[in-house]
Amino acid sequence: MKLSKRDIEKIAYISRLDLSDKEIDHYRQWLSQAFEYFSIIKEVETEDIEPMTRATEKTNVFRTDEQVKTNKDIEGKPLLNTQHDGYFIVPGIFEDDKQ
Amino acid sequence: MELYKLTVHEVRDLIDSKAISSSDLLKSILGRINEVENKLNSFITIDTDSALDQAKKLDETRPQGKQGLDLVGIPYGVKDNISTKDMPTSCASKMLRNYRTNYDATVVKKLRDKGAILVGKLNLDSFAIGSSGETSYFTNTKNPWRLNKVPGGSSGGSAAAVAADLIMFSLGTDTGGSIRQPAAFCGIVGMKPTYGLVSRYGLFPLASSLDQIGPLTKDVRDCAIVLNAITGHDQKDSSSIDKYSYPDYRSFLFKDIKGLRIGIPQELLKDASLDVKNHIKKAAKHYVELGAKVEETSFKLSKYSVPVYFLISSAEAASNLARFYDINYKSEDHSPLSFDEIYIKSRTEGFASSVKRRIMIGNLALEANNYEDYYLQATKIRAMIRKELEKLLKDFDLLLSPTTPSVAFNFSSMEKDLLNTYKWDASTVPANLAGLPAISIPCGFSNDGLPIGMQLMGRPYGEGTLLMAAHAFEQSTDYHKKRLHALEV
Repeated sequence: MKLSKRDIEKIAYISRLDLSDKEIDHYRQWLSQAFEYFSIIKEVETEDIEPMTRATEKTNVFRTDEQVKTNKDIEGKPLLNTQHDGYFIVPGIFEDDKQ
Repeated sequence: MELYKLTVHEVRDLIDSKAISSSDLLKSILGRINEVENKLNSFITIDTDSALDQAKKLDETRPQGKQGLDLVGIPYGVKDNISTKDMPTSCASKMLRNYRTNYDATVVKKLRDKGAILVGKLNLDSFAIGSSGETSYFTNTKNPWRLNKVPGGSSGGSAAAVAADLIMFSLGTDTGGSIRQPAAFCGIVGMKPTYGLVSRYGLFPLASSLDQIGPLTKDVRDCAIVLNAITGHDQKDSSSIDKYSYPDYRSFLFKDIKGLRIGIPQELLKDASLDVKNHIKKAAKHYVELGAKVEETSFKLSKYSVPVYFLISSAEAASNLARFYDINYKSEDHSPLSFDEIYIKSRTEGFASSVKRRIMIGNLALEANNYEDYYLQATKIRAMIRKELEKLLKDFDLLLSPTTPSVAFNFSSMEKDLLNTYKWDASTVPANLAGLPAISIPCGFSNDGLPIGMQLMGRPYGEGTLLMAAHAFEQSTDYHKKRLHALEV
């Protein structure tokens, strides 16, 4: 697969990465090569094959509809050190809250 | 006697008979860490005080000698992409270098409940992407057998620390061989269990349909012991299997393997070095002597497994890693910037180039024009690969192959020929694609004295058969006992 500079810029934007011109050129060459190698899979006849997206045969998982205790007393509190009544206190997002 | 040199099952007897205490063992381990860790760099975080404290408490109150207490007082380490509430979890990345979770991964909780002592968090390729251990944000882990060689990856720290006797066992993660390949490079035992057998709650996901947590140990018996401790259904992981009767994996040890049918797929041998090939043939002969029926066989879709793996794992990685930016995982203050600017800036600065490369492959494979030809086609071939392996595993109880086509390589050699090195994963990725269990155990040494690993791959939930065959081999050889480390010179 031959990739252009524009292709790479597009994929970099989708990936939310900012690439320098040098990096764009590197990725253009490298990804072209990689996808040329990956293209070997196109030779396999797969018309009647269902895609496989997970390694177990489970179709869905539901837990029983029972009340469970929420983890309000988080040990160590490493992420936020302000808690009130088992809830985290976070900065307000409306002007009136920002005091 | 140096206690750190022993295995889990060996020290168990000593602790239970009160010949030694948990603190004695831990002090021996910490002494060893103090002596050689600066040459190896296998840890990212070590918490000596907390470990000593736990050992002391266990010595005061320890329950002994009962089943299920195999790991009481045993020091271990965890790959640093598995959450621990009392230590940072960095994924060896700049992005998460200051990140702490507020809960334990299920596997860590299970080990904590069983009295194992967490000594520290082990180095890895950044975000578990890589197979040389060279892409960590912090430092390169070295191979204890030869310090100029890579330990393998991505669980490089987990393998090196066990091989160098810095901990009694470790946990790693395996998406395409990341437990088995470093285990082979470092001359220890590493197992990727069946998909769904071990809960992944608390693991930073790389490719969710492939990832699995598993043990790295000094021998097969320890592997069975650790597997007993970490398996089980977990409601918090939707891929976790329920309605399965988890066996005691130790019950598969010390068994006669007469009549066991072992197939050797020729495609997985053809790219191996002469050294590796010879040792696999020798291992096959050894199995025949032990009473197994060994035959050559063919895994015809083998040549597609590596591209299929890279397309699927990269596509899944691209979406899993989309969550990472500095507002969720704050590491720097970007206050004057807009949301989109922060998102792009923090990812550009926070991801290693190896991680960016995977994200780019993944998004390119998922892009509208390529989706059918690459991602969708790969998922269809994945189904065909599973079907072929299922068929092979009807004819055979196990498939034997090299874990890797060569022994541990020099630092910086991978980057030079990246595409070619992807192909080195040909033996390991099929187990992930098909969700099968596989184990790597030592089976000899190359001419220049580096360990060679062989892989046994089995049926779903066939860990018992893997352990049985691996243990029979190990019992009649002594490769797992050799420790000709560069560290001792």
